[in-house]
Amino acid sequence: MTRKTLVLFLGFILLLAIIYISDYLLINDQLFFNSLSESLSSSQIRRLLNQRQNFKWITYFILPIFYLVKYLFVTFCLSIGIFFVTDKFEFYRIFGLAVKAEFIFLIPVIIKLFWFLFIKTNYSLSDFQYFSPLSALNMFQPNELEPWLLYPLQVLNVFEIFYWIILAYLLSKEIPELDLNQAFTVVMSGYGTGLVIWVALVMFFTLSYT
Amino acid sequence: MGFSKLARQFLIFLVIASLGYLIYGIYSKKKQKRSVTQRIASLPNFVFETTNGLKVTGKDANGRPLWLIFFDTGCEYCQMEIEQIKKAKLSNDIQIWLVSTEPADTLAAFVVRHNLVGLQQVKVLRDTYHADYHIFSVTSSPASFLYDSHGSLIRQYKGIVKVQTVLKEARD
Repeated sequence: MTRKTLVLFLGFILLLAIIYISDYLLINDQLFFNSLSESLSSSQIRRLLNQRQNFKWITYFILPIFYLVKYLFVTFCLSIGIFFVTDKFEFYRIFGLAVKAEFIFLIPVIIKLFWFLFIKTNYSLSDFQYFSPLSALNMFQPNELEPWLLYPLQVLNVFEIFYWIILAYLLSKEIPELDLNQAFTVVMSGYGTGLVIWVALVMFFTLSYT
Repeated sequence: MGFSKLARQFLIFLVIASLGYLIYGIYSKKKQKRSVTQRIASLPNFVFETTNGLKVTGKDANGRPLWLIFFDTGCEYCQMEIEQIKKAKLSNDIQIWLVSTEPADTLAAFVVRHNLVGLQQVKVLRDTYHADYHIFSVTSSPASFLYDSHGSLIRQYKGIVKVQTVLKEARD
């Protein structure tokens, strides 16, 4: 394992650790009682919490798989973009930068952790679910919006813009044939198109099942 | 035509086709939701059956508020909802119809197992024609609809809801 790969791997572990710690500290039994007391009796909530406890280990496996799939998806989209601009197909060289760029999304996770730990200490499950710092969702009342609009508004955020810039910067470093402008074209045509299709897919499924 | 050019054209076609399909899908789902909202705004026409095969329609609501619950006998949340209903103090001002698409014998066994026989306000009915999906556009259980005594929709609930909340809304 090279030093570069080791750093990426450790960074990935750090990302997972912060998400797990955040969930551990912020999502507790009291939160479920406060949020579900409108729908369920306390014995029923207790029963659900016991079930949640039994299946909690699954989430520990799902999260790394989710991130791995995301990295592969971003790599694939960028590879297509590179193919359009340079006529070459790159995959392995791109994977590492997809992992690196993702670290920008640690910032909203940390903001969320601090926000609910120190500022808004009295919160509900929906407050937690819809909290999306510096996103377009903050201009609306999430509870008044139709569910299919929530995801695109959450995706439209400042960190996503930084993510695009970082991707373009790292691409121009990794592929010397691409200058920064061309790298940005690759990000827009490759990752941008992929993201639009992904958001449309989520909207379609949300509309179908809510 | 070189492979590279062909691949580009194919990818562009794939992107346009996928986006076109999804945008059309979103548009038609929105349209469908609007028509469902209009259709269920007042108690729609449907025919359910009791476990004995007797027909039950919206007219049998007899001018009392109706809480229509679509459920499945195997669904845990549905069972929780039914347990809550059993424990609640129900007056004769409301009637509760528990509707499922499952076979009559499964529903009859469920009624016995959950001791629903003596509950005057509760009817367990069979949805033979899949009104749950075709009329109410229900995609998961439990899903319920509360109608007032004039047959106007007060509220629809997705998932489990506290019986007291529903009774309060029916009274208000």
